[in-house]
This record gives sequence, structure tokens and C-alpha cells, in this order.
Amino acid sequence: MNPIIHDYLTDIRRRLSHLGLRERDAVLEEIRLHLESEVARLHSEDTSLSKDEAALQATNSFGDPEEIGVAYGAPGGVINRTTGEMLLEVALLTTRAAGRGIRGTLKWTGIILAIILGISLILVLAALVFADNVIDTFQDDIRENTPRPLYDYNGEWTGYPEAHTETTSDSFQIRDGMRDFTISFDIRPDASTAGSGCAQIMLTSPGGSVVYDSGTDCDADSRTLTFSEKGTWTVQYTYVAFQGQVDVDAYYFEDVSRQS
Amino acid sequence: MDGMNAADYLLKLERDMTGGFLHLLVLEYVQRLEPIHGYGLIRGMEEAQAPGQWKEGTVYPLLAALEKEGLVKSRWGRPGRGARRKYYETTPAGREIRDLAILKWQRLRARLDTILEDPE
Repeated sequence: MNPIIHDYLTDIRRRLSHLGLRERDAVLEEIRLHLESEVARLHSEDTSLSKDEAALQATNSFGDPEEIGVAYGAPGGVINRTTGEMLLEVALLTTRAAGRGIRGTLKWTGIILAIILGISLILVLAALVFADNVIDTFQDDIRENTPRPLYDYNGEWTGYPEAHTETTSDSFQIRDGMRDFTISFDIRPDASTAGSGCAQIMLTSPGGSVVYDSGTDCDADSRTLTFSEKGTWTVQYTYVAFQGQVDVDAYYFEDVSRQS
Repeated sequence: MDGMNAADYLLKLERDMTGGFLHLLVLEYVQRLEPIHGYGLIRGMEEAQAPGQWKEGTVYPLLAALEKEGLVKSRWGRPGRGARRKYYETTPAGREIRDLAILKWQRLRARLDTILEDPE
């Protein structure tokens, strides 16, 4: 079917919606036959006329679809639709409106999501910056509170002839960048042996002060002390026929504030 | 004239007048050409230079209206090897109405002529 005629008939069909389906189809078929006959006649009378031009003339001669609809009983200028068609149209409009609603919702959802994403991104970046500071802070804290080996002394002597008798000294340095240090002394005479001898440990500060002296009473001793004075610290061990164990461990802590 | 020029107004007037007697005109031509399909009827009316301002598209609704009134009847047929067509012919009631309508028209026209030719 010629597209011009097709569109024209479609227009008329819309205006005949007040008719029953069978009656409407019959009317449209009759009009279609008329138009095709007219196109054929016009074309035969003037072969230079294209099919479209002929179709246009034929439809123009046939009349305005709206007037034709009215002539078939449609209310003048108002399309009389069947309830089904009205419901269909309402459904279509509703669907379109719903479609617009969904599209609108999707659009705004997208915008909101984009905003949320943007804010989240900013927050994440801020959190990273903050976290970096936090990590730095913790790093400092960790550095500041991590004990680092400074000095270590271990000795174990059993019965004679291994029992230890001598006086020795060690030293270690507390330098800038070292906040303080903790030193533990652990003197454990062999309790299973009578007359296990003595072990005396003395810690002397850089200024010459003896800050720890385990004494000469030859008893076991365990002590942990903390100092911060910079300089050379000296540890003196005096053994007199000592049987047992001696452990001395020192750890220092960084002075982060000075380093930063 | 406000809103509509004289030519347009006269065209509308002629259409309205044609609408008044187009039923009779179609009924007359169906009776003359029956059995006749819509396209043949319109072609016949055009060739006979049927009076009035009417569009081809208005004839089909008139035929449908006349059929509903029982003044014409129709049937689908196929002329020879051509496309199927809907053929119309008048019913006895249609022919009676046609005769009565012609009388009515003649009386109306006579009275109208009297008025129009002698305004006083």
C-alpha cells in the first residue's frame, strides 16, 4: 500500500473509533479500494504523475479525515472513542508517565549517586590524608615506644672449677636521638648449691653516679630501671666464686621529637 | 466581513446547502446506476456534474447512513477478475423515500423561489 494512503487511512481509522471493529474495517476497506482505484485512474490519465503525487491528489479529493469521521457519526471535532480504546490510551499515557517517572527517578538517582560518589571520594581522600597523618602519628608513637637493643650481657657459671671470680666492666652510649633506656638486671645464684658465691653489678651514670648496685650480700636480685642521661654508662661486674646466672639487658627508645 | 471573507462564506453556505440535499442526490444516483459500488457512484456523480460542494469522502458515510435507514442495501462482490467491491442498490423503501423526498424538495424550492424572487 502506498504510504500516503496508509497514513491517510490510519488517520481515518483513529476517527472511526466509535464504530465497531468489523464495521470500521469494512469502511476502511471500502475507502482503500476507492483510493487505489483513484490513484490508478489519475496515473493512467497522467503518466508523468508519480504514485505519491497521485495518492496525494486522491486523498485530498477524498476529504479531511476529521470531517469523514464526523460524517460517520463521530461527535463533531471530538473523537468518540470506545471505552476500551480510552482505557488503552489512559494505559499508554500512564505507562508513558510512569516511564517518564522511572526515567526521572533513574536520572535523579544517577545524580544523587554521583553526588554521593563525589562526596565519598572527597571523604576517602580526606580520610587518606587524615589516615596518613594518623599513620604518621602512630608511626611516631610506634617508633617512640619500640624498645631497641642497647646492651646485652649473659653469663652462666656452674660449680667449681667453673665458678666465676673476676671483675669486668662494660659500657654503652646514650646518644642524642635516644630518649631514654631501660635496663634490667637479673642475678640468679644457683640455689641448689650451698655457698654459690657472689655477683655484684654496679651501673654508673655518665656523671659518675652509681645508680644501681646489687650489693655484696650475694642474694638474688632482679631489677628494672630507666634512665635518660646522655653519655657513656658503665656496668661493672664483680664475681666471687659465683655459681649461677646473670642477665643484663638494656633497651633504648628513640627520641622522636628531636628527630622530627 | 469579520473573520471570513465573502467567498469563504459563500463556499460554506453552498456546502451546508449541499449537505441538505446530498442524501437525496446519492439516493438518486444509486437508483440510476445500481448495482453500483462507491467508487463507481462517485465517478458517475462527477461525470454527471452533480451539483453542490461535496467531497468524495462524504459519499461513503451517506451510503452507510442510508443503509442503516434501510434505504439502500449492499453486498460485497467481485466484478470479473477485479478487486472485490461493495455494491449498493436501493431498497423499495429507498425508492419510495426518494420519490417523496423529490416532492418535498420541489415544494421547498418553490417556496424558496417565491420568497427569494419576491422579497416583498
